[in-house]
Amino acid sequence: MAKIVVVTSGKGGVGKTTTSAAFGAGLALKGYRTVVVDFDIGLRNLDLIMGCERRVVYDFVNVIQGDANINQALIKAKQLDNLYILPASQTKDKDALTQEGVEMILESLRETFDYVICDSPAGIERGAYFAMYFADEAIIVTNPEVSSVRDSDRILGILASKSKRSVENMEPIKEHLLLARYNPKRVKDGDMLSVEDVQDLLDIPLLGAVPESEAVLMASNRGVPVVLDGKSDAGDAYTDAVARFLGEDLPHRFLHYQKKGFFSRLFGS
Amino acid sequence: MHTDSVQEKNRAKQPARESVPCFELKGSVITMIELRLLQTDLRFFAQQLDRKVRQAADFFHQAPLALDLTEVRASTEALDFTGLCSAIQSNNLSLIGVRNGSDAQLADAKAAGLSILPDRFSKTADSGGSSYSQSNTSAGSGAAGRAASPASASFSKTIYHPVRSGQQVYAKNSDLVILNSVSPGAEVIADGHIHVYGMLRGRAIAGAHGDESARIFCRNLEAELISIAGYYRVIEEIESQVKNQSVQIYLKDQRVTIEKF
Repeated sequence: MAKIVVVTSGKGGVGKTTTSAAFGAGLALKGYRTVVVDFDIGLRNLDLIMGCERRVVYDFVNVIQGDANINQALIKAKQLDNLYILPASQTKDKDALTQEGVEMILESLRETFDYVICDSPAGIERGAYFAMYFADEAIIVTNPEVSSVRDSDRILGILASKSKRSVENMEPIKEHLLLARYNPKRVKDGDMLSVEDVQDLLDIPLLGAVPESEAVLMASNRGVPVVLDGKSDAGDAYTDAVARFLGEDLPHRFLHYQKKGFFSRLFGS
Repeated sequence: MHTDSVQEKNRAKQPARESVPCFELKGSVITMIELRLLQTDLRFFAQQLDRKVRQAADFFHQAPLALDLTEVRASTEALDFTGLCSAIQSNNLSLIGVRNGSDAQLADAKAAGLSILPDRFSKTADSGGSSYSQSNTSAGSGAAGRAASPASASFSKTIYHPVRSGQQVYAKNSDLVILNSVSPGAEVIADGHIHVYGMLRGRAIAGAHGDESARIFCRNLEAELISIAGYYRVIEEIESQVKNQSVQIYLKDQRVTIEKF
């Protein structure tokens, strides 16, 4: 029986899709059968970041509308055997989603996978609502700046009051915080909120802080999840975060600015 | 003749006299001493009670007393209520009534002129109480919970979870107790007082129906807006020396006043 994990943030452009791809790959590397589902109907991105955009034939909406079955729509990732993606539709919009349709798809994925990762669109409208509604756990992706933190807070409120688990009075969704685009130097200079500031405001357990990195952009453009890039600190940070998500207790590596270490990483060694 | 006319004159002056009420009925909770009877053999009752009362005569003087029969309700032996009454009265205590007895015991008590008090663990009181606490933990349903148990002593709504941005909690006709933080962009509203034990970063509106005596108590003030009975202050108008402090906020001469503890 798979766990359904929603990756959400409220705000756009904070790194949800990058995080979904990284977690999908990270969990697959650990041996779990994992599928990443793109809920951003009409603004399909996940396939690009995972490097399988040329193999999309059927999508999420085709399965909901009965034009294809789920196995026809699933695409296996190039680099990993355990990793699949279910692409969003690029031609339809979010009105094509129905609660029954989403439930049917997630329930059938639950049977064959260990983890179902739902990549939520930005906002708090229909797409985001369905991405989080059936979730067992949530990864809240936040950037260290006030508007992103406030939107994350709003999403946490919605998870706690509108999800299936809250509506049916079940055990609440397990919440995890992932801080993306973290820049320890700018934090030190006072230009950016620190991990402590964000945790103080949101008060949920921290999976990790992913440093702002060229590697993320390059990985996205190449269509390779950043965790497979063994040389970048962002990749390492995601690998650590996945391990913490699975219950391992690791020290946080990228929270504080280390002058020497930072430059040696930046200029290569 | 003369007095009659005076009386008539008075009556004419105050025609509304009959409509002035002689009394009013109000619900009230009175603390009283409970005397738990432990056995039906009462040969030494008067003696033991006398000894007990003498230990603190002032405390027991004219104190109201309720007789609880929980421990002896299974017994079929008849209780001598007249004897009990006289022993209690001779010690300057006033016996108000009896509760938790068997049907036969309560009938005897009634025959001896005592009143029957509601049982502590009665079915109605119990179910009312639990529905009250349940509905009060969820946001926005406090009013229904209150109506279900009008006899409950605590008129407050308690929130255990963080109140997040965009969420609104309203305690209708009651106080609001929040054991967690109120995020920026969240709104907590009460017709009575508001207590916040985490950070108060959102908006807090006490006395929402115009109660000018309502107050806001918080452990760490960082609120966007505080309001009492419609008078408000926004964060820019809050003095820096009370920010992040443990404070109470009340209305003084129609001005929202913040006072450090």
